[in-house]
Amino acid sequence: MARTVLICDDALFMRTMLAEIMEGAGFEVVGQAGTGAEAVKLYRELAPDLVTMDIIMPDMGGIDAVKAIVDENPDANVVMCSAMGQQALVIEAIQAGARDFVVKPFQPARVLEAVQRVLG
Amino acid sequence: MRSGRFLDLYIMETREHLQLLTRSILALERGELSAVEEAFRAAHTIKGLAGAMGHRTAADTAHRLEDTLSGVRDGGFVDSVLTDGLLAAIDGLEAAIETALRGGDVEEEESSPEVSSTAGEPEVAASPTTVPDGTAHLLVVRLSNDAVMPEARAELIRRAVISRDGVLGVWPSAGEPVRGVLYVFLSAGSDAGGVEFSVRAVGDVAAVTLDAWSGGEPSELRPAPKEAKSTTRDTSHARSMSVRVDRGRLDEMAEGIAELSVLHARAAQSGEQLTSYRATTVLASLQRIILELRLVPVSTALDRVARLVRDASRAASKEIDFEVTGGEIELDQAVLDAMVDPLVHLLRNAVDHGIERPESRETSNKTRRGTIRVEVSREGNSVRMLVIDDGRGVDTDAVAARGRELGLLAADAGAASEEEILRLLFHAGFSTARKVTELSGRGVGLDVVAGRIRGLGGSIEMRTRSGQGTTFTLRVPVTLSLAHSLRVAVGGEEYALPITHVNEVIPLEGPNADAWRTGTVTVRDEAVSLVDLGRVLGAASGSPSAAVVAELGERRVALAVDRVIGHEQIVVKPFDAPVGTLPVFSGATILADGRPALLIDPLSML
Repeated sequence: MARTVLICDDALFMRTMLAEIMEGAGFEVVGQAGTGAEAVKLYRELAPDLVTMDIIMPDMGGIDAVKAIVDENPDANVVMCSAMGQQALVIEAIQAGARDFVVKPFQPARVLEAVQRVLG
Repeated sequence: MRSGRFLDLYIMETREHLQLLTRSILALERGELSAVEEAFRAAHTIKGLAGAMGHRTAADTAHRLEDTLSGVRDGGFVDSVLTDGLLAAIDGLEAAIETALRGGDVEEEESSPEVSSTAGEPEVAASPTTVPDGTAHLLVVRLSNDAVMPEARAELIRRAVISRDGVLGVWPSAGEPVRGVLYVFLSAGSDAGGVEFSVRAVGDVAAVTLDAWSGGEPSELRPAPKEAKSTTRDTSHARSMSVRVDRGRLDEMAEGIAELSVLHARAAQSGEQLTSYRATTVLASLQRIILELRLVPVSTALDRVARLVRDASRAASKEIDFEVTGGEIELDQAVLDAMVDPLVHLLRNAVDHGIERPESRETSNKTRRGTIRVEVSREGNSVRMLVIDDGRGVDTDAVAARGRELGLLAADAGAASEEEILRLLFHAGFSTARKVTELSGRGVGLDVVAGRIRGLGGSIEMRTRSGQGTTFTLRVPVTLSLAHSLRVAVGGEEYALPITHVNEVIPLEGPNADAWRTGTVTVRDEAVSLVDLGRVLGAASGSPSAAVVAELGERRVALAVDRVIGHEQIVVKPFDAPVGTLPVFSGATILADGRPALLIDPLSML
């Protein structure tokens, strides 16, 4: 059975690109969220195996969303998607419970490596 | 160079540099970043020495330490975790040298040439397994060259290992810059293989190497050798103009000279005239020179205890600054050696029971960090050592209560003086600590400390202020081998009284004619209680004609003696009092007429 993924990013372009990478690798994209609040809500409903999380999003940022999700499920697998120059925020997200990170612009191989590591 | 010809020199030099290393690492931890240069040079020198002796593991260990130190120099900061690691590395280096000296791991051939790691991605090293017991250990994690956001990657590694058993810490700490390498410090016997697995699972890790600081194979993955900076690698720095002398030979010489002066005194006493006045002066100057040869700066011992204070405060979760003033003051090596144990005991007490935890210091409006200070000064023929802490002080009420419980303090007596109460602490078996921690040295109390110091012909005093701290004042003679003493007769026997604490001798006549009956003598309008020394010694009570007044701080006591025979220099022999010996004796000696005599400690009667 395919592993399920929830993709969170405020840019449709990014979501589409990530979805393509994930589906190409055999994952099932079960949901997409454009805000942090939506991400938390969808996580609750879908209980996906993996979440990709943008850092800067309207209506609750990615870091707060990680906190809320990890609060609910300490074993949640969240991979942060960050732009260059956001290292401090990435560290904050890791301290909040994110399991790994990838840096934009995305290289499909890098994204899948991180996902594999997280899902073990 | 396996021969023993240079061995003594080698041992001496490596010890010196190990000590220098420890001192500079502790200075580093205090924020003196310039000390890294000194530490680096010391490690470098040891590497050279060990290499020349064919001590391969020791040389490799020193080399790795050197590498780590150059990383520290580039990193520009040090924290407690790294200090722990560096100190453990020094322990490992010491162990490697010891092993080599016992005959293990000696290789004649030159070390194999360095593996160059400059070309491309370093190879993945063989997996470490389990950290051998009793050695220092370090997992060196090298990030891939193309790792993005190395500090974020480092944070993932930190989180992956920090809560695992046996992981002492990760350096650099969170939020600090990472320059491609992370060090994971492991305790003895920890599962390094498991930790390595967790590290590798994080990703962007090029290599993980287990550096057992001693005993292990040299690391395949050393950082590229730094360009040698000739200015900082000069090993001939600050070499003092001193001559190295074998201590055993010195002891022998000192003893010979001391005996010679006793013979001289005996000759003088028996009426023989020394034909040559010159001989006397030569003897005197020889004696002085030899005693001076034995003198070493107090800092040689205090450097060692500084490490101990640091480790003890880390173990007790306390923040303590250890300061020493007067470390350059010199003391006979034998006296200093004998003082180390008592000193260590006092310092451990200060760390354990004196200094409060940071939080509780803050609530009582004190600085988070406590201070333990050792102040050394010279006072005539003695050295005074103050051990001062700014901790909670002694709870005199608790001590008094316990004293009454044990029947050491009369229950019905009114308020006992603080001095009386504190004196209880020196009583054998007295302890207010409900829980004896690992560090406070169970069973060995202040009574033992005081006994040791008195055995050296010294004294110990204590002052305390509730909430503000405790100060111990130790006084010891500068040298052990010769002491000035007062020779006295009591009940038909002769004894020697070290003169250190003797104030004066007063005849039991005139205003003190009936002191014997009243039990007090008047010394310059002050009443001092008179002790019947004959009875204390279990000798037949003679007919006391004089009283020897001894003084310690503000306390004085007069000892009734039959006769004062004279003043002479004596050679104090080490004295291991058998169980049951009266505590009044602090040593033994041979008198000028060749008869043995016991040394009486007047302070034991205070």
